[in-house]
Amino acid sequence: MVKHIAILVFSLLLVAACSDYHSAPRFEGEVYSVAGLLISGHSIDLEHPLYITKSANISEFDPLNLFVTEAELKIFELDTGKSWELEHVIDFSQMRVKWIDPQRNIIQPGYRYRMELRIPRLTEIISAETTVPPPAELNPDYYGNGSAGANPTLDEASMGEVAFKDADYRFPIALNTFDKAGTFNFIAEIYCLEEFSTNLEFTTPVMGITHAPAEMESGYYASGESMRRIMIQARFASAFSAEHDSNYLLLRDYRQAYIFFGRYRVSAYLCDQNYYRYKYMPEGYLHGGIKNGLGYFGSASGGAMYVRIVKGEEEE
Amino acid sequence: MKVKLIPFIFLLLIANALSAATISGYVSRAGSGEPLQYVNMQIVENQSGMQTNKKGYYVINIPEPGSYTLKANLISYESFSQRIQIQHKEEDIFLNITLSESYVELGTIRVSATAEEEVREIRPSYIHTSTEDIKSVVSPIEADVFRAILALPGVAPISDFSSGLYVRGGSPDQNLILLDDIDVYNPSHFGGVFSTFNTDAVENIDLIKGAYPAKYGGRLSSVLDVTNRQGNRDHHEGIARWSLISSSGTLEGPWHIGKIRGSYMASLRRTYLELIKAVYDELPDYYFYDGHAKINWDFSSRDKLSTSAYFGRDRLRFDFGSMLKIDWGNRTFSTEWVHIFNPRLFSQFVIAASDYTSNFDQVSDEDVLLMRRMNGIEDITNKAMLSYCPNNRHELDFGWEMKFNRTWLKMESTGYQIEESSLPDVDVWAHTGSLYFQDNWDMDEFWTLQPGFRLLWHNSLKANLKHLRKANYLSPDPRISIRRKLDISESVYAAYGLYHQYLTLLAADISTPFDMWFPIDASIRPGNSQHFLVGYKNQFNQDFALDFELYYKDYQNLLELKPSTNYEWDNDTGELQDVFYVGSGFSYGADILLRTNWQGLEGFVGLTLSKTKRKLPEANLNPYTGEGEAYYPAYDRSVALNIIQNFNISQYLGQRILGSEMKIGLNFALNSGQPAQKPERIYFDGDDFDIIYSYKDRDRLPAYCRLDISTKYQWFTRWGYIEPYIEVINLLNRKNVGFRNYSVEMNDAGSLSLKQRDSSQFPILPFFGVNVKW
Repeated sequence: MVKHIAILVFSLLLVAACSDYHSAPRFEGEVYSVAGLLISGHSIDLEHPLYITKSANISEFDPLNLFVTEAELKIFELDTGKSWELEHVIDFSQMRVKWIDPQRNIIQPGYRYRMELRIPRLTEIISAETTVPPPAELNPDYYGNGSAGANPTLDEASMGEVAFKDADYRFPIALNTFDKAGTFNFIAEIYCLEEFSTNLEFTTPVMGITHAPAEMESGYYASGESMRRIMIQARFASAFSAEHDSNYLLLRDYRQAYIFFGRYRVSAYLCDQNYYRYKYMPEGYLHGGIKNGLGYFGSASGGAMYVRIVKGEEEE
Repeated sequence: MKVKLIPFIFLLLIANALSAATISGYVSRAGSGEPLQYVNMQIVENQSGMQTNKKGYYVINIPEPGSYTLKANLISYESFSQRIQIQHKEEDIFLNITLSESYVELGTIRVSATAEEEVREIRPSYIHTSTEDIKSVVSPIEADVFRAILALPGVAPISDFSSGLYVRGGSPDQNLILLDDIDVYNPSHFGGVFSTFNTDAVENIDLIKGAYPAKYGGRLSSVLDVTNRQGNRDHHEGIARWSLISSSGTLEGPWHIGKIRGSYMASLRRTYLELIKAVYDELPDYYFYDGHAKINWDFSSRDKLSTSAYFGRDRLRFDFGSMLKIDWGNRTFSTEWVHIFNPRLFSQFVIAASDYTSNFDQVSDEDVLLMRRMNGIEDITNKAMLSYCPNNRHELDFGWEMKFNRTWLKMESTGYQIEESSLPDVDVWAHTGSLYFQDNWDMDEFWTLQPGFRLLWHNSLKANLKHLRKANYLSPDPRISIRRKLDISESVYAAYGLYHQYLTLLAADISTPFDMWFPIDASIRPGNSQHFLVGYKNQFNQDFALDFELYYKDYQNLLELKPSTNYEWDNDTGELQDVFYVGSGFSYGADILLRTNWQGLEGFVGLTLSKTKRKLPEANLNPYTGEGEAYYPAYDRSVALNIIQNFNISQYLGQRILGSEMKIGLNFALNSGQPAQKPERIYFDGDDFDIIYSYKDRDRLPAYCRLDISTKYQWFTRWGYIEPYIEVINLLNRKNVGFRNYSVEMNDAGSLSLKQRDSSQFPILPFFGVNVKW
């Protein structure tokens, strides 16, 4: 009797175990996402636009079809009651549809903004709110170590060359937060401007590999964080600098983020909680503050500097 | 409290009222004097009997004077039989017995290979493995305790690169891992590739996969009880091993000072990747070492004292622009006094300490400390385990455990301007106490009942963060098992247990040296789990034995580390509830273990059919409701088949290679694919097109399949033997998928495509080495 029951139960389990256990699809129909980072002191323009994309399945890969053009996108400046509509422009060079503010309203530090997106056929309004961090400005030569052609610059065209070994100690990432001291959500992005090539040389060879192997190419261009794009984020403190008579947030040791020799864009921002969570959370698109949609609607203060990382004399 | 102690005292009084003569003593291995566990001891005339305990001790009550025959049996050992004359009811005969191995056999697998008929204690979900068993399982580089455990049914591996134990749906931190009765925390080397235990130093391992008895507590899922070898009490001997990346040596032998005798065992192991680095300079600077030592004093037939120690450390130096200096490791120290108050009352008293620390320094080229992270746990434990055998129907186990834990995590940054309060600086002390009681009651010749109870209490003692609310919990954990014998070696049983856990591990999905243990504070309820199981055992004959179990485990207040912890912790306000998702889960399934010793094929076939689910309110989010959806975690395995077999060619076929005894070993593993995410939608993140993923378990990776083989050639000499061996891991070179990556890439034509890349696990890997024993 016991044996028969055991065999029966075992058979049932065997049948059940051979089933393919997995969950149902997570999404239904069209999924809308927003990518919008308001930059303090700038308008929502071609350099800092909002993007709206929709996706109905994973095989829908025509880039232009992914971008939404039929929508009503409105920004509310909650502190003043002011609001304005964004309109889309197609950037054929980048194959992107950008939503910009034709009135060029300047995003104000410390202000709270609301985004409302109405899509035809969609009953819910996609919305989000953000509070802009206080003003911050990147100082590319905090210690005054530079000279023409030999220091990072705010202008890409005139970027200088800096030896890898000096890249961070002589030229830290320095964000001037003016009269604001204290703790901020800090994000820095070190982005290699070089296109992939097997001639790309590692600043620090790994396991004897000195140059980028060909199979690294797809990973190099992968979205999110990659060998090309290194992110640093944490709650950093800005403290008073007597030398500069201002509050500064300093990151002195970061040269490991220069994976290859070559040209770089180094962006540094104070950011709001939406963008901060979007960046650090797994599946950040679920945590970027968007209601009834995915992605992020955040705000930031800061800027970018440019530098070419070269070998120092000892590394030659 | 008083009410709960009444049944306990009552049972003791009842038990004391019974009287009989006793035969008791220790059973040890001939030639080494080491204790033999689980030897079947029986009085032939009245069929009463028991098994020796973990110390090799037995006691049998004989109610009437007369002439009796005492028999001792253990598989692979010659039987022992002796006539005993009992003169009167109060007579206590102390008889130590030695058993000789029936043949010399190194590659024998004896997983729980005991006939059921004489066992009083019900041992549901219990698997006993000896050091020989462990060495018989083909493992990368060298035999490994955890790798051997991972081959057993009900234990799931997460990947080839990790020896983390996922037992019946429980995560590694839910396993109580004991080494000579003291907890070992984060017991792994080399990022989880090896366990911390050196197999030469280990006597045996008891794995209890669920419904574990009242003697154990404090973890939700399972128990892994590791006992170090005592050392040879008869003569000095040693064993040395050389492999491609490590060497080890073990020495053991007897000692005596005057009339006091004892034994010692010491074992050391170290890797030497540095030698490879001398040839290939670009390797990271890494090594690990560990050592076990144990010394025993046999003061008298009633008193034995042993002291055991373990230490192990991993060290890594890695230059990636700035220098990373990382080290981590365990230390344990345990002293045990075994005392026989009278033949019926056997006791063990333990004072032990354990710690685990890990340190991380990031240092600039100028030798300036940029970042430091230190974490650790200290454990001081006192426990008593007593066993009282008033008659042949009852065996009462009872005792206590007092445990003090200190845990800390401290991060400092001098190179970065990170907000100080966001760098954890936590130092907490806690106490966990417990009392337990269990009766192993043979109600009649068919039925055995094993009621048990463990009472636990947990208090926070002090913390450097004043705002942490102090925990104060009391948990009564009932345990009960019942068994019905169907035949002399056939039985069915059922068991239930409730379990609580007060220590929790802060760990990401993959175990790392930086995983941190913390006692819960008042912001989080202790995790609890209920285990239900029914089982069937049958020792068909000397060749085959079957264990079959159905189980269900329910988990409440499960904790999983929030990803936001590293970015949002605040020393001024943070509590554990800010660090964890709190959820629930369950696991159920069937484990089948078929043991074989047939036609020279020795080993087992294990099959697991199971299902495990977790539900955490903020993880695996439903995008429409914002609620967490239940999911199959990465260690869920619907089907897992393991075949472990060894064959002694020389012994069974008479073939010898250059005069050596040749053995071959085979491991075969077939597991259903682990749950995984897959892309469902696409979006633009402001820079690139990126993927929107499904739930954690929308997809399954391809099934895992691996065949490992080994051959050993053993040349016996006057002084010992030499044993070179060759192993091939993943003989079929199957590309088992460890992780699946997706990316969206734009091709030259400007259209996007979805790319899938699989990271493989172990490729085909040959290893060779030499073992020398003298």
